[in-house]
This record gives sequence, C-alpha cells and structure tokens, in this order.
Amino acid sequence: MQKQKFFQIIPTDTNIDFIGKYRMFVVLSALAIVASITLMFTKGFNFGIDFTGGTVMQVNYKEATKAEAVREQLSQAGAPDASVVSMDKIDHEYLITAQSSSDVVGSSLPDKLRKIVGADKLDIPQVDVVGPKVGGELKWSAVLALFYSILLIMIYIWLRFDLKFAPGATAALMHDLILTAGFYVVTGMEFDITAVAALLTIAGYSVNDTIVIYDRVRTMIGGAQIDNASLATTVNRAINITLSRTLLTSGFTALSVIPVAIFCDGPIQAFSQAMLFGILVGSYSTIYIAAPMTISVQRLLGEGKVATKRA
Amino acid sequence: MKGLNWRVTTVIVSVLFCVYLLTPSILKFGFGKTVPRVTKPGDPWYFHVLPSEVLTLGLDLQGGLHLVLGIDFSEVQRDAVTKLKNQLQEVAEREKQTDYKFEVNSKDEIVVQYPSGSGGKVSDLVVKFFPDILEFRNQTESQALIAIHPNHENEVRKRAIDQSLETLRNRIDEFGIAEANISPQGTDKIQVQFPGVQDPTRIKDIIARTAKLSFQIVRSGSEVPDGPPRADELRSWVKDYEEKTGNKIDGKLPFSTYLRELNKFVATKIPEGTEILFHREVNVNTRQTEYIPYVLQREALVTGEDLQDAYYSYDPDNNKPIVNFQLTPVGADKFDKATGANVGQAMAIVLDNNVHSAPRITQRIGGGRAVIKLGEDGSRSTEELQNEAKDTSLVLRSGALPARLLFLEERLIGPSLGMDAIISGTKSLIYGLLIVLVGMGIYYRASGLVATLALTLNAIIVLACMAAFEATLTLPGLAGLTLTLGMAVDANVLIFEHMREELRKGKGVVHAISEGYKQAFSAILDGNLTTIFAGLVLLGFGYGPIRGFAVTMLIGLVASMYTAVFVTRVVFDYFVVAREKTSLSL
Repeated sequence: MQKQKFFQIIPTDTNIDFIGKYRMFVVLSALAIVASITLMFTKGFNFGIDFTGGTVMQVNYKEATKAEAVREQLSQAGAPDASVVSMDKIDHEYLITAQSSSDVVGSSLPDKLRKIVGADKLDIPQVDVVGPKVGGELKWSAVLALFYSILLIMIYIWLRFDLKFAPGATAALMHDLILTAGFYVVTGMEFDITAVAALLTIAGYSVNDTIVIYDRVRTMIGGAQIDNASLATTVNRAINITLSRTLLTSGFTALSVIPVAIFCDGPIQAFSQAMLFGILVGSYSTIYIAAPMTISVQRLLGEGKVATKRA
Repeated sequence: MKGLNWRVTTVIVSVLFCVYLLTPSILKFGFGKTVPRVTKPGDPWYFHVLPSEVLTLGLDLQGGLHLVLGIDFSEVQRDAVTKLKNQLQEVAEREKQTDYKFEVNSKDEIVVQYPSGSGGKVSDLVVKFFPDILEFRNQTESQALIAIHPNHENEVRKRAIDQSLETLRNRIDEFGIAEANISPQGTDKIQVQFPGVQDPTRIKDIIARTAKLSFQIVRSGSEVPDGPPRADELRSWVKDYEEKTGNKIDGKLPFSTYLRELNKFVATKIPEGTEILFHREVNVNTRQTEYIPYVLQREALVTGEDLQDAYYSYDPDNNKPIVNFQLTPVGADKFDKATGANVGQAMAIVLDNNVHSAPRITQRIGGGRAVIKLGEDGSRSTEELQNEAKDTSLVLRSGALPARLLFLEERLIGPSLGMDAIISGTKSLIYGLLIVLVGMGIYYRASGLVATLALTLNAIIVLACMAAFEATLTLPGLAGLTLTLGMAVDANVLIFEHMREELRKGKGVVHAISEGYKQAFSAILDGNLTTIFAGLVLLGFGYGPIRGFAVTMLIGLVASMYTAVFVTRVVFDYFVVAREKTSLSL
C-alpha cells in the first residue's frame, strides 16, 4: 500500500534535544520569575475596584462640560480625589474612578452626582460600586480558589500518573501563573475578577499541555521499569513526537482568542490578552520546566527505577 | 460495525433535541415572540409543542441593575437580645421573682441583678426555659451576665436573611418589576438583579427602607417644649455629643449608628426608658435639612407588626398625598386603650427612626386608623410627594425588614452597552470558529472539517443546555465558551496526530481510525478532567461573573468530550469504516 502524504509543519523525524539544553531555559525562567515577583512588590498590581472597593462610572453629559467642572461637581459629591478621564474629545463623555471610603455604598457617588447636576442633564450608562469589605473578601476567596485548584490538580496527577510527575506539573503551573501575573504588572492592566478567571483558565490549559506529554511518556514506558538515562531519552522523544500537536493546539487556541482581543473591549479584552500570553508560556513551560523537572526529581531520589501506572 | 446504527441515531436525536430546545430562544431574540408557560387555545400550534425555557442573558448583555446587599447584623442582634430580655423578664415574673432587674448592656448582654443568694434560681430559669438560646457569661453574688447562645445567634442571622428576602420579594412584586431576581448569596448576603432598569435611585430607596413603624409618646420636643428635658437643653446635649465624638448627623456614619451612640451618650441625662429621635425637615427658604430632636417613650404604643394595611390617598383639606393605615383588630384595641390612657399627650408617628409627625391626642382613638401627612414643609414637588406616598404605603404594606440593609455592591449597565457587548461577543465567537475552520481544513482537509462541524455542534449543545436549565449567558460565559472550543480542537488534533502516526507506519485506514481514538483518549480525558476540576473550584468560588464563566466552561467541557470524541468517531465510522474506504482525507 502506498504511504499517504500529509500536510504538516513539523517533520516526523524531528529530533531536537530539548532536555539537553534545559539548564539554560530553567535559569531564564528563574530570572523571569524573580523579576515578576520583584515587580509585584515594587510596582504592584493595578488592582481594580473589584478588589480595592470604589466607584467606576461612565457619565455622559447632555451639554459639553469641561473636566474641571466635572471635578468641581465630584468634590461637591464628596469625592475630590476621583480621577476624571475624558472618553471623547468634545467634553461629553467621562470615565470617573473613585476610591471608596465606606463599606456601605448606599447613597453612592452616581446618586449624588445626579442630584447635584440634575438627573435630566446627564446620563450614567455604566456604574460599578464595590464596598472595600466585599473587595477584601473577594481577594481572599480568589487566593483560595487558586490554591484549591492547584491542590486538586496535583492530587489528580499523583493518582493518574506518579507522585514523581506531580512536582514537575506543579512547578510548570506555578511558573505560568507567576509569569502571567507578572504580565499584568508589567502591562499595568487592571487586575480584577476577570484576571482571576484568566489565571484559572491558564492553569487548566497549562496542566492540559503538560498532561499530553506526560501521557506520551506513560504510554512509551508502558508500565515497565526504566533507568534514569533512558527516562531522559524517552521524555525527549515524547516532546518531539507531540511537537506538532503542541504547535497546532496552541496555535489554534491562540488564533481563536485573537478576535476577542480585537473586537471586545474592557475586561474581556484584557482577559484574552492574558490568555494569549498564558497559552504561549504554558507550551514553553511544559517542554522546559515540567519535563526536565521529572527527570531531576528522579535523579534526586537516586538511581531508582521509574514505574508509571498504566493508563 | 458494532452498534453503528444505534450511534448514528443518538447523534441525530441529540442534534434535533438541541435545535428543539433552542427554538424558543431563537423565536424570542430573532422574532420577539415568547413561548408562554401556560398555553391558551388560540395560540399558534408551535406554542403547544415548544418548551418555554429560553436562554437568559446576563445583565452585562441586556443591561440592568445588579445589587449585593448585606444586613446590619448588629441591629438584628440587639433586637433579638432585647426580645429575649423581655421574655426572660416575663418568665421570671410568672415564677414570682419580681425583685429581679433586667437590662441590656452595650455589649448586647442581658444583665440580671438579683438579691444575693438567689443566683441559683436565675440559672434554673435559663436552663429550663432557654436551653441553647441563652448562655451565662459571668455570674457573681448578685448579678449575672447572660449572652445569646452561638447556635441561636446563627439561627437569628439566618432568619434575618430569610425575612429580608421575603420582604424584598414582596416589595419588588408590588412595585411591579417583572423578571427581577432576588436570591441569597453565600450565607450573609442578598443579590438583587433588575434587568433593563435605567434609573436606580427610586428602586434603591425602596430597598433601603427598613419600614419600621411605631407610635410613641412624646416626653419632650417642639410639641412639649418644657420637657423634661427642656428643648434647649436637648439641643445643647446633641451639640455636645457631636463635638465630643466628631460624629455628624448627616456624615459618613449610618444614621442608626449615630442614634445608638447618641443615646448611649445621653443615657444618664434623659429620663429612664426614653430615647432621642429626630424629625427631619427641609427649610423652605434655605433648602437646608434641619433635624429637630425629640425625647420619646421607648416602649411603643403600637408597632408596624399590628398593621393590617397601608394605602395612599389625598388629604381632603389641601389635596396633598397622605398615607393611611389600618391596624389589625388586636392592634386597634391596643391603640384604643393606649390613646385613652394618654389623652392630652403628644404621640409621635415614627417611621424608620424619623419622627414624621407628633400630633396631640385630643381624645380616645378607636377603629385603628391613622394617617401620615407628607411634605408639610412644601419643599418638594407634587410628583415627588406622590411617589413618596406610594412608596411609603408600599413598604409598610409589604412588611418591615428585620434590620437596615447595606449596599455592598452596585453595578449598572446601560442597555446600549449590553447590545454592543452582544455584537462584539458574537462576532469574536464567529471569527474564532472561522479561523479554526480554515486552519483545520488546510491542515487536516476533510477530517479537519469534520472536527469543525463537531465544534459548531459543541457550541449549539452548550447554548441548548443553558436554555433548558435557564442558566444565564454572560460575557465571561461567552469567553468560557471560546475556551472550551479550544479544548475541543485539542482533542481532535490529538486524535488526528495519532491516526497519522498509524498511517505512517503503513497501517490500514480502519486500523488507524480505531487506534487514533484509542491512543488519544487517555490524554483527552486527563486534560478535560483537570480543567473540569479548575471549573468546579471556580463554581464553588461563588461570585457572579466567575460563576457564569465556570458554568459555560463546565457544560462546554462535557459537551466537547461528546462532540470531539463520540460524534466525530460516528462520522468516520459511517463515511469511512462502514464503506470500507481505503483512503482517508487527513
């Protein structure tokens, strides 16, 4: 029978030595992680009002109103420090952001502004008011959500593969999450509840990516006992075989996120930009963090044998 | 092929069923027709056949007002302790222990003072009549500190939330906002959503009102200027309090807290069993709000609990809106006796800590009717007064809230912004699908198109499930959908790569197909399951937009396992394996 030819980007016989050069990339990643964490503490996140509490509102004036006049009205309403950003060039639309000082947002800034200016002279199409207490609770539950999902994922990998595989997957996962958080810090994008959703989705993707290669290794070892040297070769071979899939999946997912990054605005746009970054970092970390780490864990434990569970 | 017919039938039936579930939503959003829950004989035939459940759009897509409310638990707690103190006192009196003294201290504890040596009897009473409700904090020879039991405290809080939910539902029903959604969020918050609402001020006002009504005897105030205490003394104490504590009556502090602190401050100066409240009035000339202090007997003659009905009408004298009450027979009887006993005194009508008016009782009032006059200061327009009369009678009729509700979160999305979001969301979804279609078509040819078909079916299944469960589709939900589609693509890529591997080894098409699915399955399952775990954690996270994202993602992941693995396999088996083709477009 004649062999079928396929349209493909990565040739079948590709055999790049990924594992051999892993040290350089681990150092690179370590540097990036240190830089991200340093920036988190020096520059800090641009937390959205979801976490800090405060008011964000869009105000459309029926008549042109100068920014100074808007500021004057806001200080009458008890928010002299509010930021006023013009959204058009003709002094009609403004985005107003104010930190909140009280847990209770009852008679909130938009209500006061309507009263001061006159409800018929302006239109407030969008309002977000969050009390600082709710914001604090939310921050805490976001941290918990991240913690629990990482824990669950680790347990799952331990059950389905081998305990020795779990540190690699976790290291790769943490790597991706820290770098994406760093991405938020560097770009100054608002870190709000949607950002947490992005982080959790990236966590899912990152682990999925790692699992595909782990699955290959598992199949290739097939429940047999192998030594460290052959484990390294096997892992490298697995990466090469799945390279085409890694490229395609990451490529398509990235491509399908791009329209969102272009057509949507606001939080969803930020979400998709973070996703794009996360997908790239996730693919990288599988190859250069998760896979080598498995071998290192094995080396640390001495010349033992690896026995993975059967799929 | 084993069970091929059965599998083909499953796929066709599931597709048809999804289309069936989605039709009402298409009718609604495309043609503006809603399938009614109960059909009438005159309806078109398809109304009888189709389900009435439609896809609900989140507030971020259709616009509206979203509120998260908390409740002032300190007030709830204080009310509960005061009630328990009264019950304890009654029990003690019934047991002939009249020389005990009961009061509630500032830490919400009941202080019982008794002749030395009778402490044992107090503990007996509490153990016998209030097990798991009260507990001892501290006991000495002649005094006991009793606090509310933690279990009962939780019960009280739960009841406060339940009662608030009930009251809010009544109020919003009466106000006539269709499709409002009022639900508990966690254990201590209430979420309220109003689709399509533009001006939140009036709704927020209706929600915020506690609607606590009481009739109390006036001991001092503008109608009783000589007190005791005298009106000028009273004013100077209030001023003193504001200067010493820095609290202001219309400052940052909630009004009820301001009042509580003030009454603590003047507790030794005003007569026992009384409290200070204010009458709010807008000065016609200066347009400034003035607060006039009153000293009132704390024990009410009658409260809102004795109210049977409240409605608004117009004062025959000046044609201004007024609110009328009708008390229950029991309430009317109480009112009759109390007014008879207090002829010549002034009686304050207090609504939500505001002294509305304080008329003098000229004679015994039978029949249980009373009236609140609004806008005697003339500073507001007739329309404003009319709305206030309507709203006041509404909140009185629908019952009081157990305590003040606190606005913790307020989000308002204009309908046009929602429309923009729908358009951009749909656009990006369609472009995303198109990109995958073209890409997969080029790379995997006909097989790639099969995968894209499965993707489209995946999206349809997710939407159909959401319509059937009446789940809410939000903007983050659309993002979640896009992401599931990514996972589905991955599943097919994995399968196809394995198939190619087998074909490269020179294996036959039939073998390659079955091996491709077999080998790829473990990776697909593990990948999906881990993402499902992340989704479940998100769901447990329990916050609006994140929940929307998690729900779509979870439904999508399960659906993608079905479409990307089961449905595509059926297509391959039907068109390739069953027809014994020797080549595969891959």
